[in-house]
Amino acid sequence: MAKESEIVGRSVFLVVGALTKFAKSQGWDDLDYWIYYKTNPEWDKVHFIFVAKGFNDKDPYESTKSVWSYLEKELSGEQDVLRSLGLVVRSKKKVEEGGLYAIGPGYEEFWTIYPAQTS
Amino acid sequence: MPSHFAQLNLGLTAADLDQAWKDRLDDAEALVAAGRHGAAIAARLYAIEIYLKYRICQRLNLVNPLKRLEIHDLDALVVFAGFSQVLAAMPAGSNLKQNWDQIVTFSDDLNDLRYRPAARWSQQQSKDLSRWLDDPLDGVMTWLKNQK
Repeated sequence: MAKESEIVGRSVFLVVGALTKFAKSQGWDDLDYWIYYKTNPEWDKVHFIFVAKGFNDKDPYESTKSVWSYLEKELSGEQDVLRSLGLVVRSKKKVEEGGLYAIGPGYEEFWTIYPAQTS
Repeated sequence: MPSHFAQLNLGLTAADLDQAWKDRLDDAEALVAAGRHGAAIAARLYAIEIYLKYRICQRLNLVNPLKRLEIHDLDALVVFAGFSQVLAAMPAGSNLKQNWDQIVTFSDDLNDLRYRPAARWSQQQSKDLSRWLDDPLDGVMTWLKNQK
């Protein structure tokens, strides 16, 4: 059995990769989606919030189902990763609404693009 | 003398917890009626946390809760309550699993509910949390209450 931290680390790596691939499959620009995550290694859990403009005005349950369905195909050989995963899918509009839908302070953004170097 | 992990909070009983989660839900209803939506959201978050602690007492046949479990981590509380395997075995995209993930994600923000102005939370958001918890088909509290 893998150590807790190995599962969590692998989950972040694999899930970010799969979410990025999902975004590409939708034709989204890198600037139109955001991935936030929080790890809870003591309990082998990784929580993701996947935010995109492409989810605006769509049924949140259906949007989440479509992402889960994609992840289950992409990570079909990684059952421990899927079990470790908590996933919330949000439209950009909802996140901008704040309150219940704000990104909590415990979440880190996973940068899928990087600022250009200046020197 | 019990180990550090097994120490009980002798000032609180499982019966207290069983009453307290119901009281917090009643508080939430009263707060909603008064238009205090942020406080209603907080009361509902307290209710699920207290309910899980009550179920842990039931599961472990304890009259008093464990001091070690005076925590707010829903990932941990659901493990000790004995429901994590059932939850993990659910279809990933099911509405219930989605509702659970929404609540766990938001539970991280309890400090915001303490320290930020009430205008941050809307009536609709209070309704959304209520649905995640109490939907008759897919609500998390509905599901937990049906677990043996």
